Amino acid sequence: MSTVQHTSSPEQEALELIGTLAAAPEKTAVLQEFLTERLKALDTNLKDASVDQLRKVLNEFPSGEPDSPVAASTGAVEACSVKGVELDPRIQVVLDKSRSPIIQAVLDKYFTSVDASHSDRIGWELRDGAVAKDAVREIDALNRELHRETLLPTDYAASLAEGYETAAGARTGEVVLGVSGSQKMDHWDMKSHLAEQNMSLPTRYDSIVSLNLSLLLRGEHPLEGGKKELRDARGVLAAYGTGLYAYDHVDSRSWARLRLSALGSPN
Amino acid sequence: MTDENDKSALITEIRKRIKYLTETEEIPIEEKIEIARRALEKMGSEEQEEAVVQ
Repeated sequence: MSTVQHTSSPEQEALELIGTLAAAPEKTAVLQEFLTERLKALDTNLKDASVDQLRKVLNEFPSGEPDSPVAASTGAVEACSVKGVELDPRIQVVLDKSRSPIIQAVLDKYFTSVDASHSDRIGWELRDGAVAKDAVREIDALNRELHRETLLPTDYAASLAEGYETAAGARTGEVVLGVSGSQKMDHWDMKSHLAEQNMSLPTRYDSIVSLNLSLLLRGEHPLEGGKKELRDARGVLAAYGTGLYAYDHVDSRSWARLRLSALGSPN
Repeated sequence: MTDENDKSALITEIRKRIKYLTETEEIPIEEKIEIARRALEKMGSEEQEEAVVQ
């Protein structure tokens, strides 16, 4: 088995190099060469790596795929209206069947079912010509009229998790980011939440992390709230695609990228 | 899926992502290096452990 050669730790090398070259005009070219060498070394060693190692390596890289599996609950759609944000059309919307028939009717006007084969939640996507902004305005108006208080039944997480999987079309090993608009669901790791109820995720992937839309739109990353379950989910999120890989760095730039890639831009 | 098939699929996906990382202009070079460093670390750590065992 070939081995990766290190004269000092890779972290030290990278930091020293970046620091030394910070002011140099040829910085980018040298850093590019350094990166290329690193990636070549990695590529050379792939065939000798174990499956477990390969999975870990894979999780470090952003996928770069435009169709990242992001699913939003209808609560997130509703929250968009309040925040003046148009939902990115790539985001699949999960309809909670327990919702008011009136709201369902509005949703049906704007969204079409994409798959209801193995879930009691339904994945929805925008109908041709429909504008999510119009949908959320209408739903928001209804909500105000109904003074609706959304309650989460005990099986909410399991059902929503399944719905997310369906809507987002997650593949094995992928993590779905569930975007929630609920003020009650501050942010939490569904896997942990289900474990507390002696339940397990009815899904193929490791975890779903649901994030409060309001927090994201304000540019606040939930770690500042000190939620342990989300800190624990860092590695899981790192396995996700464009926009989320940088979560592991836990800085505001990561969340800015997440907002832009997953939620679209404020109007 | 067998272990070998799984491994082959993983290598293909990693190479695809390496290509993306190399080509994309959306990620700063410093961040790319950090990603590569961490990926390499994932490869190196287990191998070093194996070397000790051997």
